[in-house]
Amino acid sequence: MNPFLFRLFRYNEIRVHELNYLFWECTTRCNLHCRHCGSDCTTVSGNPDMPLEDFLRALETVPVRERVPGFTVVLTGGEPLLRPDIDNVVRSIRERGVGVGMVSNGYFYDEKKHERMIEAGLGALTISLDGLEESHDWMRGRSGSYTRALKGIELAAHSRLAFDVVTCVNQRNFHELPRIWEVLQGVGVPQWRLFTIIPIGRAASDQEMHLSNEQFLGLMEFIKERRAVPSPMKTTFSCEGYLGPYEEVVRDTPYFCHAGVNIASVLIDGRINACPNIDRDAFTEGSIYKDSLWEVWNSGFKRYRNRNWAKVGSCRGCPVWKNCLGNGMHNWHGSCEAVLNCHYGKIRDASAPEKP
Amino acid sequence: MKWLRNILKGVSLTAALFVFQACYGAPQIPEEEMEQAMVETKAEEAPAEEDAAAETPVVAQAE
Repeated sequence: MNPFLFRLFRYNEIRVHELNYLFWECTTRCNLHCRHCGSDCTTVSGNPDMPLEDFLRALETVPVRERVPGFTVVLTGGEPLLRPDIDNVVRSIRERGVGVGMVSNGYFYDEKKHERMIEAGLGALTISLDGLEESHDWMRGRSGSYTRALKGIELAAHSRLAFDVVTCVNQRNFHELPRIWEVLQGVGVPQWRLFTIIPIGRAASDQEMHLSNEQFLGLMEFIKERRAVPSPMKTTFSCEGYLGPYEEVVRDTPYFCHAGVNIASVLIDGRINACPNIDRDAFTEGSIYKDSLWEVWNSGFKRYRNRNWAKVGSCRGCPVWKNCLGNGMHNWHGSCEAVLNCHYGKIRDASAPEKP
Repeated sequence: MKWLRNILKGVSLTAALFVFQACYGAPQIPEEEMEQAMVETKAEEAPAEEDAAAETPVVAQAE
């Protein structure tokens, strides 16, 4: 797409800022102990699960006339399936004319759970698969998690759900990518989405989680190649950052961070943010226990909608600023003196692509 | 400018621009399915509205 026209489109989207994607961090309890967890989730969380009624009260501040047809609540965690009332959660949101999606590690997504979720009205699901058996179980900190996740993937792939599989690419699974592609295509997955880690939570100090510039460039080439192969499974890179020459090559549409433009989240303690992986202390806009979610959406989120504050560090004077606007909001943490991850810079600085 | 947005959304060449996915979120649900959900919800709400209308004369009588 013509970059100028796309920037016009983006400018208009920011002005209109229609809320159509709302995360709910409904629990921070988790049955796994993933090496890359951005939430630092634990089996026994310091925060109790947020009562459904509290979330529904916040959701109902969004006037019915403002709930656009695609308006979706995405349940995240922690592991949402650990909530004993998960069926009721899905059903209650769906009854309000709002779609429901879920991000799960797939461990508990067996046939029974699948049937109950479909019956309750779940519309979209993402399950993580972070490698072949050994790598996935290593990454997830629990043996058997690969087998169970794959079973869940098979169930979801053959249902009416809008479904995809995500893989966090790291040093361990980088060379497994072609075989993971075969596995997922073999079980009928419609879309495989790859992403890389940002240095937050447990992943901040774990070097095995991070790709070198050459590997990152190799990842771009891998996705480009797979997209050129006729396949019922679409391979794509997540919208986590601006990719310069790979824009619209590894994704369908140009890069656009929708955080605070179309995306909000209600965090486990009631705080209102954009995406759950964005720095909670630096970018929280309010609390559902003190503020109206809808009012905060309309009057807050200014730093998300005008990102001139991000023209610092390597972003200051950057030639691609107008396309990138400082990369994804989750790449800004703490005092925001510099962007944590520059995808464009990784590609620019790589000497040659390393093949997966 | 919502009018511009609505025009663009209706043009098949640009409609794909509006389908996004949060970096770590689930896919968007196809709009047809969502519209169906809206219809179902409205149908469920309808009897409640009728009940409310039926109660109005009683209130008026009491006044």
